[in-house]
Amino acid sequence: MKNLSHRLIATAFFVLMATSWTRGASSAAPAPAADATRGKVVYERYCLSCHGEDGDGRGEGGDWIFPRPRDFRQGMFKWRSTPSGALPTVLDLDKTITDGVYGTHMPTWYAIGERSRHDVIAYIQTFSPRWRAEEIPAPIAIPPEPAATGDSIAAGKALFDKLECAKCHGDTGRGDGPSSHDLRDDWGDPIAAADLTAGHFKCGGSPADIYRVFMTGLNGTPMPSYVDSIKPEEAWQLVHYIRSLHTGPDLPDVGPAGRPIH
Amino acid sequence: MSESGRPRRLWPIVLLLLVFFPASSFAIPAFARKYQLRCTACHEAWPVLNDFGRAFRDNGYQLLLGRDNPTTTPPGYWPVAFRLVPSYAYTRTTNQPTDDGLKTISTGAGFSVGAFDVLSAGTLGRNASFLFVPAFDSGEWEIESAWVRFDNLRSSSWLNLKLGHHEVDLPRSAHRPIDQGSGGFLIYGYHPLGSESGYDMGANQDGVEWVGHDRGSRNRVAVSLFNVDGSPGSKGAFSTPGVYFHATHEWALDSLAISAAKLGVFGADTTWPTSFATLDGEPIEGTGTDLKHSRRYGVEGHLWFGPNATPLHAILVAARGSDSRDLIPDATRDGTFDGGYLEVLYTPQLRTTAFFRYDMVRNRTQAFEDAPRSANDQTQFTIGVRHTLSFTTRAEYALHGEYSSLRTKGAAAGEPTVTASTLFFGVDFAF
Repeated sequence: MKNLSHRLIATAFFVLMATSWTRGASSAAPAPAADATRGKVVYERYCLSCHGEDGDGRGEGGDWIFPRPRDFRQGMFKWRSTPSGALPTVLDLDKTITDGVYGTHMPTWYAIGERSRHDVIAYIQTFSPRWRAEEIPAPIAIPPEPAATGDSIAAGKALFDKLECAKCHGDTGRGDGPSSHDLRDDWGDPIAAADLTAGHFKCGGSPADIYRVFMTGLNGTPMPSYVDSIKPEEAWQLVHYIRSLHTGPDLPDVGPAGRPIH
Repeated sequence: MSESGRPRRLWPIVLLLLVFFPASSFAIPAFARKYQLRCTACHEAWPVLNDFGRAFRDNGYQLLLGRDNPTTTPPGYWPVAFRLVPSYAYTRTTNQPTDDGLKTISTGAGFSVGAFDVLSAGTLGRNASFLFVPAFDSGEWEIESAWVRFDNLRSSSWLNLKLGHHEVDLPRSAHRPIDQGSGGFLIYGYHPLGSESGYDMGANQDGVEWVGHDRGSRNRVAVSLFNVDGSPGSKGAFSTPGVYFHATHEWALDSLAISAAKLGVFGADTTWPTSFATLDGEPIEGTGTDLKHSRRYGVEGHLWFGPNATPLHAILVAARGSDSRDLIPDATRDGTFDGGYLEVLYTPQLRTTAFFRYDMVRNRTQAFEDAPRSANDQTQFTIGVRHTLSFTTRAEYALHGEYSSLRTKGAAAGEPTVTASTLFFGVDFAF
């Protein structure tokens, strides 16, 4: 009799759970598209403590984090492959979520899987009307990188001076230029100029990542786009100069989970 | 132990100890404070880790984005958290052997705090992590865990070395169970009737562990070399050696129906002394000799159904074990058994998790030829629900209710099956 009761309880439990799961699975049809409803749960599980319930970057941890978590309501994102001022592509946001942002509290969410990441991106897109009103332009073209030479580095240094990069980043690139102490982003929060000698970049450490920043700028920050000021080959010269400022070990990639960063 | 060397009457006491002083488990709000992440980021249903939590643990409690070194935290940050579970447990045991024959007994403890853990964990520097867990249990302090781990040696995530008192890398952690009032994972600590070995896969061990893993810990392997905990006559430093290994591969399927699947193998070969010098009947350290073997090996499978933010996680573990006849006084052959468990965790929403586990141990070969094959076979099911009332980056507390029932077949022909049923209700909180 006891055996029977044990089996009955176990069977009932499995039926209950199987029913619940089947209901959930059928309501979320197996379509490949990202789903903001599912993304809301992903957001609440992983993102809400920093980015806040309303996506305003004022979650319970937001006040303790520097730089502050992104406020999603303006639809403004620093790291993009799209032109200055434009919305980022889904892949741009997925890259940020997957790799995290070195030096900040934004972790690498590689482990949660692509579907969860795309679902949460769909939910993040509900915070700003821009996603419904604007088209997402195509990513900018990045020409092949020419070989870095002494001449290209010297030319990059000349551009660095001409464009007055030192005002924020300092003469030696340490992020200690005369304007660096007063910088604020479009949300009114203090923002630090990047230390170009540290060997890592929030936007990603590859030459293409650095090139992209010159040409797209960082929306919402004092870092402008130079797409109208410099030619592609000049942008590569700047890349070579910036990379020459780091004299330690090889430039690391932005920290993927499971890999050490030097 | 009875005169024949068979532990006929000890298990109810062991069960009661397990019920009222459940194995401590981890959920470490110190990490939440450090990284400003809620418990849901790392825990499928705390204290059970999810993929992100496992990757964080395997990375040496690091996010690897330049914010792990203690120097990156405010000076006031202290890597310490506490966990307590004030609880009420009621157990009814049938066919309990007593001096007056078999009886049904009922026991209960009213909202006692059987144990609490001080959980200190974090990083000592870049790629150096630690865990230190003093636990107050049964009126005494014990050091449940104390280890240092050197992470990402030679810049490889495949080379991590842990030194100290540590839990081996089990398919489901004995220290992170979702259940609180049951007898735990039966297969981990089971031994054939009469065995003197005290090895428990779920017990923390003194030794060295190597762990290697890839990005996101989709592939991982762990090997522990240790001195078997609790070995009488042992002087430590591998005088009673044991080895444990565990390897898994996980598929991130990203399907709506099945979000992930994992397969793994594990095994252990441990020793236990069968003779030692004594003083006043107590073994003298360093005199344990005539080491004999216990072996365990098994397979595991995991399926995560539905979205991985609200999964239905099914875990199946099947294992086989054997103890040398030399570990069992008067035995005529090795004692062998099969067993395992099926556990299902369903988290339909972030705050609530329903869980079920079916544990089973079946003897395959009794060490005593006259013992019934099914003697001391064990079956347990546990069902419960856990509802988190609040989780923040500072603290969490949850209501926890469960019912479990453990049946143990009589140790000899004619002995009745003993059934212990436990109702458990508690408030699990950590801060």
